[in-house]
Amino acid sequence: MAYPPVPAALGEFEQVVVLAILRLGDEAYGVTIRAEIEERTERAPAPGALYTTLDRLEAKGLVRSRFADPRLERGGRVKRYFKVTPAGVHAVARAQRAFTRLLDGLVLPGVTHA
Amino acid sequence: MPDGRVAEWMLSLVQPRQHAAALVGDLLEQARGRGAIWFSLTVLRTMAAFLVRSVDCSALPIATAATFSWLIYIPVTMIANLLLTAVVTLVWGVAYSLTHARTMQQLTLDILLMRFSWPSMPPIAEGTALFVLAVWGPFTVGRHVARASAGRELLAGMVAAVVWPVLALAVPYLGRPMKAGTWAVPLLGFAVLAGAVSERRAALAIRLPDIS
Repeated sequence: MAYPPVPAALGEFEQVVVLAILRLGDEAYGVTIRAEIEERTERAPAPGALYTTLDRLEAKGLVRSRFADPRLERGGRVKRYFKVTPAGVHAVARAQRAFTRLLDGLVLPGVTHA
Repeated sequence: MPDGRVAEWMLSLVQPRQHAAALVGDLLEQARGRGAIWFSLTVLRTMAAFLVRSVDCSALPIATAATFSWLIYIPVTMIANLLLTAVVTLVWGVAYSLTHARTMQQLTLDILLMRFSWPSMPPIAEGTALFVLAVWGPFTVGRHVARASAGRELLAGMVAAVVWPVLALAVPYLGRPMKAGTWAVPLLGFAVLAGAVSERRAALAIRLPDIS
């Protein structure tokens, strides 16, 4: 019997990036991903950290990228759009389930759950 | 607004060219209102981040390649040094004898018996030998180190550029070209790095942008 491949484990920042790409849909490229993360988490990731993470996620097969849409304000350079692969969705869901299980029944002093 | 061509060239040393172009486009988009200093610093920080990540991925193979190349460089430069000295000395000596020999018989005898009495080599000959051994040799080896580390040429070159001078200082007579003082040690590192950059540029078939 063939077992489905175990999805790659995701670090915390990798989860943040994958979730931001999922939220942005077809508009996910470097600038919008960074802005989305900043808006939702109230912390601006360093571009170096973001782009190395995107490359790592692509190497793991959790996201894929395509080049399109050159613009004048970018000096005529194309955008690199990202999309989460089914393996990426599986991996982030698995990571979130693990967090949920860890938090289940846990009372954090001074913190009110939404 | 910054131009971005130099940034693209720099980032294409650590990223595939198309990725670097898109990345610079992103940074240019974000640089509006932030200025050229923010852009320049961000390019440098991003480049550093990619380099650090490469170290994380493959430090051992690259360090091994750098050390191994140094071990190859030693016998190669020793042989090259001997050959070069012999050739330069012979050419210089024969030329001197041809112009200073009193008779053809004396000249023939001098050459047959290797009995030359020429003055010391001119500075230009010694300079050429030093250039070959301290610049051309490490540059060529730097290219080979980079070639052995496809995709991480620049990082391999940087590792080699650090490893070589350290080893050269640790083993003074083998680690640097003969007749070269301690001043030549950093030169080895720069030459290795230049070779690696050259190989990276060749690998990506990119040219230095026109920034005039």
